[in-house]
Amino acid sequence: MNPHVTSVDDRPSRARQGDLSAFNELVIEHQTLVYNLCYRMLGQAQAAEDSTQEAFVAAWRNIASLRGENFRPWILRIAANLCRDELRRRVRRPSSSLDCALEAGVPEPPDDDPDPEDTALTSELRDRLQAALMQLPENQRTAVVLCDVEGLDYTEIATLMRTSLGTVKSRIARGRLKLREILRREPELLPGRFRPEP
Amino acid sequence: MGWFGRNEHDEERLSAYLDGELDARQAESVERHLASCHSCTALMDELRDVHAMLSDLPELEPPRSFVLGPEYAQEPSRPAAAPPRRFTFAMAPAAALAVFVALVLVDVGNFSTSNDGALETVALRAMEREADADDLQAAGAASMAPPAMDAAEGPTTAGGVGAAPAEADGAGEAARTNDEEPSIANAGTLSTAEEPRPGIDPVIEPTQRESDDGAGLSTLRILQIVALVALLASGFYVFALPRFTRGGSQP
Repeated sequence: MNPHVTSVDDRPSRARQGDLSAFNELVIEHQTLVYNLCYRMLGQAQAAEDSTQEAFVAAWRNIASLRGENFRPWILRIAANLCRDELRRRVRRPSSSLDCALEAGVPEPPDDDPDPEDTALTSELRDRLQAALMQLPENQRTAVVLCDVEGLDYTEIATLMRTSLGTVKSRIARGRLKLREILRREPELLPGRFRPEP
Repeated sequence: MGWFGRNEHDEERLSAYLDGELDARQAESVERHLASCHSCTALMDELRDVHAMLSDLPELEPPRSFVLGPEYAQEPSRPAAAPPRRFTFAMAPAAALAVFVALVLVDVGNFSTSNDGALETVALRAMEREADADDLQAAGAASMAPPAMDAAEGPTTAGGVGAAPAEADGAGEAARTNDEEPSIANAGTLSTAEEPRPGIDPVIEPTQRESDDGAGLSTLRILQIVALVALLASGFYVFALPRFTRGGSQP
């Protein structure tokens, strides 16, 4: 890398001019973020992998639409929209009991990298949390995942979801409270500090 | 400011406070309130708990690399094709308007002349349009085109007869590139087939003459209505519908 390169990232504009290697650098940089968004939205490892792939392919094919925008919100919007479409397809298809079981609570992918410092959440709680996420309406789930899991701020989320700040605020608040309500049904799963007071 | 119970505003405000999304004045107000309100303090704790759990979810490693292979290097030429497609599609309302105006002018010309020869010409043209539109309806029914696009193709095909051929080709191409169905692509070629069909003409012509004289629902009137519907439908598709489509490929 050129040590004198400025802080302005020229890879998006190079990608727009057809530079696939510049685009692929952006893919490498953002694929973890996109994959995690897709997984938290769809609840299935295979579906998340498919949607991530689809998102980057769609991004490359529509690279002309990436104008002044930063790559991150742009690719996240593409991924979130694909996940929304996939969720709607699932609703239309008659769901088998297997589908319901898959959506209700899916163990995380086996190649999950265990964080040795992550002692707060047991594997069971992680599964329950993901299952609870799947019970949120798609809009609330998107907003909560983007805010609480991916760490985006309200303005970024509003731009990404093409809605107002007020709507984002509302979706996040309602999503969080609904998750809390779902998790309260099995309080013994919650670590000590999370348990509701008697 | 005193809050006397929970409502949606309280929850949203606390949630936004948790995320640091309130300005200094609002944040200060929330802190003062929390100092004295047990109910809201409990709610605040619940929101914090959920937020903490979610951020404690581990970041998953992607199962593989999603880098695009070299076979994708050819594809950026396609985005260049996209703007012309949008441009052509946007021509559809203009083409439909032109066709509608043309049909109205024909109608005006029809009433202003009492010449039988002119009537016969109009009847002949209307009948050809009807025959072409019937063929196109049959082709359209076999495809999976949305109904509005079917209506759009009727007058655009008819427009190939009366209106400028360039506009009809543009609209036909709009239908073609939008739909990419071979049966719809035939619309472009159908519009150029202007010869009257021997089997059909003698049967329809007398009826057409009579209906054009009177104030009844003539073929011309039907085509005007269809053109108007096509104008409204294509206008909706071009101007209003994009607002509802997903934003993935739009800035």
